[in-house]
Amino acid sequence: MVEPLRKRNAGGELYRRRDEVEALIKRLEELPRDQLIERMRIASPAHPDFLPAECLLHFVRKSKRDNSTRQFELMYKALMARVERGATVPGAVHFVEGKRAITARAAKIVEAVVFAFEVKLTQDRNGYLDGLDYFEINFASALKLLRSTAQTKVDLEAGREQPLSYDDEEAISPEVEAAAGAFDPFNSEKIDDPAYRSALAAAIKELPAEERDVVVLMLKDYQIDSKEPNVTTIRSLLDCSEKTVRNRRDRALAKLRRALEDLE
Amino acid sequence: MTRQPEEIENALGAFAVEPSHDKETLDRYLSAYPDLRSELLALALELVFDVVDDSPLDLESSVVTESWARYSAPSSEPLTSASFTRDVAKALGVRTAVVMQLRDRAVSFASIPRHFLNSLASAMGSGMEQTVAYLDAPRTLAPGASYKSEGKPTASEQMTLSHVLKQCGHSPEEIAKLLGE
Repeated sequence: MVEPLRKRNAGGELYRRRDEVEALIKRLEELPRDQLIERMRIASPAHPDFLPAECLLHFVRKSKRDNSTRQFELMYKALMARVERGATVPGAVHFVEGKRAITARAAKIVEAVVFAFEVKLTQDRNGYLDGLDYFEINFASALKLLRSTAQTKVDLEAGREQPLSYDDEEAISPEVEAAAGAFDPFNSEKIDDPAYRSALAAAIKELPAEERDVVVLMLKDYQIDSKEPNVTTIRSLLDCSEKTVRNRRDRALAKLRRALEDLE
Repeated sequence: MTRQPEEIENALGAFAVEPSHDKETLDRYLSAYPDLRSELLALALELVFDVVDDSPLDLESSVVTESWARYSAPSSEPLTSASFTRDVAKALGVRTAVVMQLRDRAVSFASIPRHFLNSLASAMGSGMEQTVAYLDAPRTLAPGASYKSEGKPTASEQMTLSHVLKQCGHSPEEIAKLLGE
């Protein structure tokens, strides 16, 4: 049996790995060590035998006691390459003379995420860090949390998060209103196009926090306001007037429209 | 509402691994953690977009090899309380009392920013593993404590690094600089 996770959810139940991950770990445990490592080191995500990162983490954690061997080094590096990839902000990668390069901001975020993950592995090596279980449940999502935290920190340090420079209640200009119009970036026919999604994600992240929050809540189907007292709305969550929410929405949509125009 | 860093990380981690991040799930977390609204919304946004990068990974990239070098740095002697000296405080730019609190494990590990941890490890000339192992170990009572007390002594609650810095007389500006916020 694969060693169960130890982390419990809010209801007190033990978390479990996804069924397919659990089944795969079981099969991999039967492989001779060198073959297991060979599988772990498949570097192309398109390869049919490419392993989920959850499996890599499981075997690195399991081998933490014999971590001085060359075999462990190979496993560790395979795992950290996944961390590096997951820590890279979408849209930050470009190619210079055929070489992969990322922006300075993205590099700082990667550095912070890799270091945070490394500290978690070190804590786990000295005992058992149940917080690392989240990464065995869903590696990509748990890593997005580290990335989100790192992003906020890096942007704060760089002074990127500027407070709103306008009066929220003030009526928006006809130009902004016209640009926002009935524009719905999430219902575009291009929503399945990776380039469009990547540009949309980057454009939303460029918005001031107040406008970004409105966009995220709209994306999650929250209503701006409601006459029903028990319905959670964008207005009640952000604790501002309906007009403010509408103004933020229109400004945000106008900006997103401009940012996405190049792709149209 | 003040939450311990562990609690925040735990709540956000639980949200991250939810099988679905629909309105109902988000609603549940926003009402349970109203103070974490901006963190939850930032994370919800991250979780919406999955940009698949199918290019081959570099298993020997500089990020990866540097990480391995830190992780596998040969184990030196385990860190002891004697390593927390006045010179360490000086190198870090903090008051000696702060280093004494770190020595006594009065600071919750999760509240120590990564870069501070890195600077602390290098100021003590110690590896990351030893530093983490020392600071993250359970807080124990000073030997002999039981003889000096009337009742049964217990190790007191840990504080956040920010709180300790304030308590030791650092100004809000210094604290912001030290914590990198």
